[in-house]
Amino acid sequence: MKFGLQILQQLPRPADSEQWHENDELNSTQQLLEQIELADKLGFDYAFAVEHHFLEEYSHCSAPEVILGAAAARTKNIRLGHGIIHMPPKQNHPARVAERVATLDIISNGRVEFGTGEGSTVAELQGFGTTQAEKKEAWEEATRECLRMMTSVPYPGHEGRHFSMPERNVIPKPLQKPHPPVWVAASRRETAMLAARMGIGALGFGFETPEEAEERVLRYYQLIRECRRPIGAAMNPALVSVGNMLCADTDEKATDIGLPGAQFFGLSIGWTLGRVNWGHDHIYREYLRRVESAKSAEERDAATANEPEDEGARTLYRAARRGLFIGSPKFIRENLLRYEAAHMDAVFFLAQVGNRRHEQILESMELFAREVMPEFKERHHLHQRWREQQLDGVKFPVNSTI
Amino acid sequence: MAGTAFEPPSEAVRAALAAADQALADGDYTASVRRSVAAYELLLAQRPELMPAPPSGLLRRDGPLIPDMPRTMRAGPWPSTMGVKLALDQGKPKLTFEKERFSMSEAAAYYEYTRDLVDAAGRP
Repeated sequence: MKFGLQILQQLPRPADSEQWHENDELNSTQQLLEQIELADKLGFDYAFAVEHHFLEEYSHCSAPEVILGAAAARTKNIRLGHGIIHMPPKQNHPARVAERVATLDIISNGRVEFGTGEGSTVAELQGFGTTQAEKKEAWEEATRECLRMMTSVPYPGHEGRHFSMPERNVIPKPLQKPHPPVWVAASRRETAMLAARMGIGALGFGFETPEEAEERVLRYYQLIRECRRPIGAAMNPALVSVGNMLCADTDEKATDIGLPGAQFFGLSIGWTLGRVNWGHDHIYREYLRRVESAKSAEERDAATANEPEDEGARTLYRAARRGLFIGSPKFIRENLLRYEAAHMDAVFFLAQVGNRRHEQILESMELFAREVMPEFKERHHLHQRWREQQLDGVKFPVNSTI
Repeated sequence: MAGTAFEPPSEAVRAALAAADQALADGDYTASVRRSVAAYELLLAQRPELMPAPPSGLLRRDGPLIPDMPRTMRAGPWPSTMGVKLALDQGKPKLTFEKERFSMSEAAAYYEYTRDLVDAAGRP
């Protein structure tokens, strides 16, 4: 199993202020670059950066190509992924995407992973004039054509439903041939299966239990073998599961440090789906208010059947069932073992969420890399052997870094 | 369904789903979506309890801070954002086509969603 960081760049408004302090975005950006740099040194395999627009507090990573360019200059081995680029042409013209991805691939000496997606929130889609009803079709058309631009000399041009352009040679071409490994954001199961039918990796942003992951893996690889219409010139058979991670010496310490960030993440992702008072909503204060009221509310309820009686153990149990990796090395290891048994190709961690301090995140990454990661990396060749069996009979070229 | 005899998806449901799969393989994506929708409607008519509830916790602004099992990847609501909207009409599900033509990605997504639900409905 491989491991990666999912870079979201959460930035809660300060509790003592209506707006961010002068250097908050500067510090946050520098810190996430340091986190990617450390991940590279520790042997993490991937760092994927999101693209989100206008989602205050939830994500301030709106120009991932710039972040990843800076990361490329500061790292040596880690694969740099877009997780994901909004592909509907009103958000990003496919030729501009092809140019940026190829340039990043050259700057990073061939370390790019090309993650694609539709964009999910109405706030983001409406901000660029894309409707929900057209976004998936727009993603498909733009992604297919963007990959043709990376491989065609010249690109013959396109007359489509979502964009048109005349014949041009789109340059530069990516270093990786025929193009970098391609992924799609899959927050729903059916999108992961669509990925398999198109021969690309699925970034599982939907949070799932190991049991759900196992079913998804088996169906995904079945469809990969049956794939007849890959969207690009090379397939990237790969499945990732994403979870919130905080590793500390003890479960209690990890929960104290890690759970508030995971809770803020949950609240802020829900916030992006409702009506927003732009520039004024203060999600972090709302979070603090909910924490206070939750202390006496029923949501801190008694254990249900099969759950531990102890409140702390119950919190961790629920966290694990939700695909969270918040706990001691032993707890995280046992949770990851179940994903490994399900043949998950990689697990990506949301390490920076909520108000977790930079130093806590670095310590957590170091402890995980020292106490948990090595045995999974040592066993990865067994997974690769299993994967080769799954891919037996695939008729198309494969470019994958699993 | 306590006290109710288990009723697997009907032959009509499975036939519509098989037709959707075949249309997908043939590259007739609009036909595939229409047949997936037909299978879904037939299944809900037979087993109305299978209409999924909105996800709890995550993906809801008013969800609790420590949500219950957020089965957000599986058993999610009908994917209404791809051109076929699901609404309740006097308590009964009603599917409305918002466009005439569908792409491969939309057809594959609607097929896989419906197939997963039919599979789940086939397990006692």
